[in-house]
Amino acid sequence: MKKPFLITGFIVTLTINPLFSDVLSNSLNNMLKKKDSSGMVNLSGINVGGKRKPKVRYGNQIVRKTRPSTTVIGHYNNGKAIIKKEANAYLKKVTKGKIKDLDLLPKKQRLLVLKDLQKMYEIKHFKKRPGTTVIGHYNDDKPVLKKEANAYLRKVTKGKIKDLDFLPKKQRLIVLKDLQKMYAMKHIKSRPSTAVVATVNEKPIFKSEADNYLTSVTGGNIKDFDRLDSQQRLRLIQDISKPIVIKEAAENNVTSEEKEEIFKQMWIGKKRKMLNVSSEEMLALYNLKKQKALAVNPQAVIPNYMSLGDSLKNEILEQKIMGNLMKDVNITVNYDANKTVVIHDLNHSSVKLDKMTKTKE
Amino acid sequence: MVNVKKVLILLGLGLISSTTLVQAKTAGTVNGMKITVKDANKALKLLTKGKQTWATLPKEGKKQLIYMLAPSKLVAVTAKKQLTAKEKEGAIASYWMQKKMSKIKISDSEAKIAYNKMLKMAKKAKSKAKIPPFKKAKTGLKMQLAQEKVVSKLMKKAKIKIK
Repeated sequence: MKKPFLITGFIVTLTINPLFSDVLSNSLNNMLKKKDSSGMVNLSGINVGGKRKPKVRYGNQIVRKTRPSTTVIGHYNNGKAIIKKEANAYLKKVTKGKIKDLDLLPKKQRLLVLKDLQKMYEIKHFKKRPGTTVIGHYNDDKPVLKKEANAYLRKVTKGKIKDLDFLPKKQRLIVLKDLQKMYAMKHIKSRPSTAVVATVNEKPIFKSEADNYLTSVTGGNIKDFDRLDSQQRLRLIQDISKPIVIKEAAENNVTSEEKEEIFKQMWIGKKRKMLNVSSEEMLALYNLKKQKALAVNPQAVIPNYMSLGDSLKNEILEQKIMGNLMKDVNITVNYDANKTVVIHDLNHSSVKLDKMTKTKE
Repeated sequence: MVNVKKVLILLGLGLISSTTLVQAKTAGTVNGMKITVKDANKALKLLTKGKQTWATLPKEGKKQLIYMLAPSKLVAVTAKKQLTAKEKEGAIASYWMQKKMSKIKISDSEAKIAYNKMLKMAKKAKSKAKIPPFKKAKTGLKMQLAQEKVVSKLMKKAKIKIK
């Protein structure tokens, strides 16, 4: 009677074992499909189909080889040993009791668990620096305290991050720079309006000029040049420099004869704008011209008044301008050109003198 | 060849004494301002196509010529006196700028690129302003591009120091 039972038991054990392993695989698969709520173990890194630990046969049973729970599996950042049972406990927690032994996982996944434990330990045993720690300096060498950074951090993260030391180095530096910028803006020392803020080809640009320009381009929103950062200052000075550089180049490259002509044209243009010409004046001039022309040639073809409109106006304007200028003018004519006139002229430059000597030669 | 030594000596003299001694043949004066024979001959060359000079001109002709040249002389002096330094600077600068710009040639393709950029910018800024077609905007754009070229050349050479 005993023999058939033993045989049946043996067959049942052999068929059930692979069945159980399929059940474990399915459950792990289901866990992978579920979203991780703990946020600690990266379940997506776990591979259910990964290589299993080698099987060891004890008598008739096949058992997976696992290390004792006191085995040291790694070290925390302070050198303290990480014991396997800590990893098991963690694994049990995150897999909701589905995996209880670290050794059931392939090597890659075991390493992930170890890293998680190390991270958690680091966070748990994180030593925050006191609020009075100097984390940097403002532009006037006043120290930047950690508590100031904490307050700023709390404000900008709406209370989500309260301590600077929780941030990685790069972000800590950004916070420090922000604080320094804000301090510089708040404690700005504005220079007087007579201060020279820049030079363009050694020509000074005064702060008042820069302030005025800034006010006009920002529509009055920013009025102080000293409130700008270095890049903004450069851009603004470049803009202000353009007309200065153009004027300088023009001054050096336009001859005195050209300048005289430019001034003449400009002055005449200005005068023309100030004077008025009535239609009666234009008609009177037209009639006068017509009379003169007919007196010379009675068959002369006289153009229509309307077609002469602008030229008549221009002639009258010229007459008016010149008439004013020539009033009480004192003109002398030197009929004997060989007579030499000696002039003491303060306005003659040495360049002109040079030109004259050259022409003499 | 210009005698450099002589020029330097004359320049030195000019610097030592602010009053320069000028000797020139004068054809006439207008309110005390001289019109030189050189000026008169220049005008005569244009008026008579080189047929007459101050020396060969009869008395009446000389008088007429000086009276003809007088307004220009007066305008020059009055303009110099009445225009402000700013006005003068501005006028010289705009004259020089136009002179420089006229020497710069901007091709149609360059203008087209600038026009397309302008269109893109307007689209990006969601501008409601009407942009004229390329044909109409071309001349203005070319002027603008030429001006930018002149200015950027100058700015490259400029020595800017921020304090």
